[in-house]
Amino acid sequence: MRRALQSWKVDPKIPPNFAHGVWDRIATRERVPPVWSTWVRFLQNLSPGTGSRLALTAATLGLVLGIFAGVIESKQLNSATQQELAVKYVRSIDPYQQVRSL
Amino acid sequence: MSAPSILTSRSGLSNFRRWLLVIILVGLVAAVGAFLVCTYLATQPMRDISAAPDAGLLWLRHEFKLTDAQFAQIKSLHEKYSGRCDAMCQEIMRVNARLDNLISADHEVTPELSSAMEQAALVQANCRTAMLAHIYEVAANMEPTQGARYVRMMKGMIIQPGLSITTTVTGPSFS
Repeated sequence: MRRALQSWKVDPKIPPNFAHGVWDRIATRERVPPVWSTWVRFLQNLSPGTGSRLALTAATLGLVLGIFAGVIESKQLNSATQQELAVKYVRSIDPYQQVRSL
Repeated sequence: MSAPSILTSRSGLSNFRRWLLVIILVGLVAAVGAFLVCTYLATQPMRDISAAPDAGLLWLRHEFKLTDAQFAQIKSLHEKYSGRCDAMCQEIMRVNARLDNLISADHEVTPELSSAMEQAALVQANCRTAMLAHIYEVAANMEPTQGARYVRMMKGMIIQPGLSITTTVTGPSFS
């Protein structure tokens, strides 16, 4: 057993460009801000299935936000139009406003 | 072993960029699309009313939730009143022009100027009376609560003729 262990030699082979590869990976990670690193790592290892689910989530979120903003914007636009229409109606029954607009 | 891991890192970065771009684009397109469609659809009824020739009356119908019968009745009243309103408008312009000439010509309050001012005040009183009578008639053809709201909305014009409705009306009816 001892003889066998003494005769056993480990000959690790460092692959070509190992150091370059290590520095390359370090540089890649340093380029990414630390806050985003988890997110980036997650996206780097994203499978197409998970990616498309994430895109679908983004689309849903976008839809919800778009509808919310649209409802607020249309309320404001409708309010402004109602004001204009009210002025139009009042002008049609108030002769003084008609004189003023001539 | 390290060579494939470098490849994984590089392809991982491009994968990251691709997915990030896809997610941002999809989210943006969905948001902008939903915003435009929602705004277009939600403002359609008001835009239709605004484009109509009798937009003011259609606004009245929408604002005070008039039924078809109420609207027809109020429309008929409005058409009848419109002729009188045009005549009042002409009368106001005539007395105002006379007053304008006299104020420019005289340098003191002459009996003629006094009379012109009295006439202008009389025309104004007649116009206010006619307007108020029309407002009451219109309100009488609405639901009682809507009619009361209509009178509240219009009374500013009676108290101060020529006043813009935006300065007389505030509150829930326009929100």
